[in-house]
Amino acid sequence: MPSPSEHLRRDDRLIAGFAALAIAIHILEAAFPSPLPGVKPGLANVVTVVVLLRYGWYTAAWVAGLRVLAGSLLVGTFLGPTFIMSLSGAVAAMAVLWLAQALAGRWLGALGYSVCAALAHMATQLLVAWQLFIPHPALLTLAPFLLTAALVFGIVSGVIAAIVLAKLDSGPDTARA
Amino acid sequence: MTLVRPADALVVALAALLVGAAWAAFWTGGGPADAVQVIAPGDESRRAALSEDDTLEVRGHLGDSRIEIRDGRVRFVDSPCVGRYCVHSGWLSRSGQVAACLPNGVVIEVTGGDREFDAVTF
Amino acid sequence: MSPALRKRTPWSLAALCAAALLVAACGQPAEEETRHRFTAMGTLVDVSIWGAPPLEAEAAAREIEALFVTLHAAWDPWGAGALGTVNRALAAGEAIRPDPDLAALLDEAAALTEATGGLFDPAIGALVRLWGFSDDESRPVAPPPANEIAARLAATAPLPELLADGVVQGPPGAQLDLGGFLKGVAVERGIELLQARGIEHAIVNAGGDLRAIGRRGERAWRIGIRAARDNTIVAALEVADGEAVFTSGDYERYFDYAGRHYHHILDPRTGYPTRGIASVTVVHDDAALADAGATALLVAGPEDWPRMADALGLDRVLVVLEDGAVELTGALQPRIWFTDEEQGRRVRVRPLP
Repeated sequence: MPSPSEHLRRDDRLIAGFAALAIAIHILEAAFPSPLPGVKPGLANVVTVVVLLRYGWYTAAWVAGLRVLAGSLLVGTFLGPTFIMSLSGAVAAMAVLWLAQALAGRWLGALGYSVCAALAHMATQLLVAWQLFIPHPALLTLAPFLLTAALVFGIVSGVIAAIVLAKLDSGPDTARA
Repeated sequence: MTLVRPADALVVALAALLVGAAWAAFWTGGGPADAVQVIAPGDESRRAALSEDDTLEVRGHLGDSRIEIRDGRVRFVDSPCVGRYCVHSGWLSRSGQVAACLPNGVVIEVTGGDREFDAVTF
Repeated sequence: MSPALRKRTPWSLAALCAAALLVAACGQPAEEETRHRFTAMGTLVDVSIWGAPPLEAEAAAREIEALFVTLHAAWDPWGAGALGTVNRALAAGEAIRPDPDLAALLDEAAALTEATGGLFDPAIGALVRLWGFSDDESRPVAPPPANEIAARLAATAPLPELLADGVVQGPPGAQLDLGGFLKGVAVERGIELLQARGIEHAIVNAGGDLRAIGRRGERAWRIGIRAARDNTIVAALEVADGEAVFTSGDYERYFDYAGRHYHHILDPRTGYPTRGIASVTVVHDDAALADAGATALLVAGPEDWPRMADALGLDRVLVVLEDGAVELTGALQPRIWFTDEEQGRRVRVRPLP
């Protein structure tokens, strides 16, 4: 049986791997055009939800924070408007995930968490954009589109996350601490 | 562990409701003009929707200007000025169009949709 | 994660996020637009300022308002200011030396009169007054009698003939109305006022005649061209730093009588409003030149306007004819986009001689 310290190292490697994956997705999404700067489909959500359900909220928050910071540093948007929106979206998503876990715990699967996170992420980004960058009514007419997109992507990432989790659980190398 | 749980379906349904509400709240139908901004001296400035037929009496320097909203358009019907260029401007229906009664200090501007231009030359 | 690491993680994460947000928020400059609208010079004036703290921008805009009120009083042809004084002296047959500022403007206007071959001539003030377009208090309903028009024309002389060594003198029928030129000067001075206060991105728009400096944040200032009798926006362009956009049209002050359209821009050769062109939009760095140029091109007419544009050194011109057709110069064509794409395809480019 692996020793506790070996568990630690394997977990850290997996988490680091997840974080790297999330950052990679972040950078890829940055390459896509979007109606609003900094507003992205949020497919990195998949990683967040998988980490949440396997390692708990703190780890997921850590990974999400790393993704936003490192991602923005690498893409070159650190401290810019894109970064602020990414960060606030991530903070809101984590907050909602914490709430969802506290309220619904085991009842919710990856899909439910993912949708919650995606909507919270997008809604917050819209709010921040409206308050800080574009206090223009035209932004509000974009809101329904973007929220719908967030819902769709939330569902898609949720299903992907559920599949990933199922595969991880049934795989031979399951590290249960 | 099944992929989708009942609670998940509930969350998705609720989320869909929320997004639907967002559509209802924010989608202005895409039409360019939805309101008229009336600028007048003192506290008389106000905003009115073009979707509701109405007649506004707006007090200016010289007296009351009468503004009519009908069928999504707006115009000056009457004004105490001598020149009455304001009335002569006719119906305004597109976002950004302006009519003004300068002697009376009353201006009506159609707003709504994207403000495409920072300024207009005419 | 190890228990020790788990304890420290949320707090450090929270602190990191808070610090990042704080730093990012402080680092953002105030990127917003201030708009101030007021009435002056008989028209609606809009001042838009970008990238300056709102209080400063508002204060600067109000200074422009005060400036315009002063200029309007000074340049009112029938008022108590400098120009009114000159006109009264002219009417009395006296010679007068106008104040230096006005004198400089008169010299500039006289040069334009010569350059336009008399198509732009401020000395027809009495004629303009006869037609009733002088102020927006009154609105004429019928053309004046032909003999009175002829008399007013005969009683005056072109502006250059009224000036000699800084002294204004001429026949008693000569009255000066600098209307087709002074908005340009006012807008120019408004911009200079803003620049003196360190504002680099703004538009001063006096009733549709404007000059822009700088940009609106990440994009250029976008100007809509409302050049039609039905109040719709025909086209748009993005202005470069320092460009002025001035439009003269036949729909600003007008009346229709017996089936004919009479408007406020008179042809100094005939004494009657011009025909053929509905509006002219001129783009040029010199606002006063753009102002006078737009008037002169309108008077020049559908055939002659390219030649006049060339004579004045104007290379960016858009003309809307009475029948709705649009013509423009080669330099302007790539920069304009039309609201109605169909119309955009049908525009004619008129090469300058």
